Amino acid sequence: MSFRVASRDERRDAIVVSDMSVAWDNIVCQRTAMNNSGKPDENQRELFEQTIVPHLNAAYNLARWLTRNQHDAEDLVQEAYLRAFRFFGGFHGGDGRAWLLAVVRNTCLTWLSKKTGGAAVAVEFNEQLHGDATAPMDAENAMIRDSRIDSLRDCVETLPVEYREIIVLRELEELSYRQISEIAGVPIGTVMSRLSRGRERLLDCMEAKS
Amino acid sequence: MTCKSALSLIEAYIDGELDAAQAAEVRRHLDECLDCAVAHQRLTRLSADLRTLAPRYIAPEDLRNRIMQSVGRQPVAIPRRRAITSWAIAATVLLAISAGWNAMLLQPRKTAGDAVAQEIVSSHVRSLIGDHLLDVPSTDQHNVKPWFNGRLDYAPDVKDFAAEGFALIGGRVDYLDRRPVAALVYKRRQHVINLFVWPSTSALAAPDAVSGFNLVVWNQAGMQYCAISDLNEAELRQFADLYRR
Repeated sequence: MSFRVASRDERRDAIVVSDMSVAWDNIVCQRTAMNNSGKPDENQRELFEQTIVPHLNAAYNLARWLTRNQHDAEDLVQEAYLRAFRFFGGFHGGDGRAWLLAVVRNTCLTWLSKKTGGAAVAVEFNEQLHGDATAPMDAENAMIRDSRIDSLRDCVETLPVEYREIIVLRELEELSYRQISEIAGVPIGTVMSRLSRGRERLLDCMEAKS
Repeated sequence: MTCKSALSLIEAYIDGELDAAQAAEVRRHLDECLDCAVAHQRLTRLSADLRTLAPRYIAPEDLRNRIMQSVGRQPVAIPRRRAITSWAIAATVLLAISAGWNAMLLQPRKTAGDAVAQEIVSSHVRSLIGDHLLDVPSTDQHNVKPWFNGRLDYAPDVKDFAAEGFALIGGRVDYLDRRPVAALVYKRRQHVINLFVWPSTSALAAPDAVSGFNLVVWNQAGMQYCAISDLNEAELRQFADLYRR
């Protein structure tokens, strides 16, 4: 049997998760305190389908970037949806996407903190992506573009998770500082400073690769 | 404005988080200061790269089905028309009943505009599942407009804003507010915008955001327009302003 010391990234992930769990507990306590009905009824199920299910792609995208692999992202999104459904009695309208993403984030970070001694996370390249209609390019430009895509993906994936999640929520989900602060359970000032440091690291990483 | 304070605001400026007065100050400083302009350009380029080059992963279809099953629903490959109808009926019934009852079942203060807005969200979401988005895939407005002939009893105005970064990708006929309506489909980076157009003399009062989607509605020349997307609010408004022009 062999033992492996958690990598620096994993340890850092674990530290972030501990302050995150507190934020999550606060959300759940607030929500469940207001929820005296227990299990969601049929009307709530309908409302859940209207307000939470539509954000599956946002949920999956966040989970995919946090876990860095497809298989775990799928499992964690499913788990997050079950949790969201269970706590849905406490959802009082408003931003369904932000509410769901807070659940997804917590589910993923909890998983990351528990994951010790796991094998290196495989990176897959053949996933179905939002294909933008791209203008015809000559081979050389296409190659430069492809290598830029790979570099960018590598740089985002190697960011510490506390920066990675903020970058994904801001740049890919295009959420506002206020929404990100709700999802991550941190003040707006912290969102701004993590975003700024994350971007600085990305720029350094991209420059090192070019 | 000093470089120090400008640098601290550049990111909030790029992210559209400054108020108009602060944004104007930063813009003025960027015009005068080369160092800050370079920093601004670097960050803007990073942001553009992330949005256009970094993958935004899409959930596999069977995950959607697994989730629907796990919350006690049959999997729905093709979302049911019934869902909207029953929703519309439910909303109408709810309107008739007291406000207290409303608040218990749904969000507080449900209005007719909210009910249509919810239908619009359902249509938007349905359009993104499988290949329901386009009946007529075409980036040419001169193909899309005539396609609606005979399918609708009115002719929607079809415009393309590819040059401004909102490319027309096609259209379809959808069903909203108890009538068939034109849905024009645009793309901004990885975000799909559905623009619903139908004749109406009274302006629809819909909220700016429903369930995390942004909505912009306007009424012009006897037509009701509603743009919906997960695109950020500022850019969706920019799209609406282009269209209204």
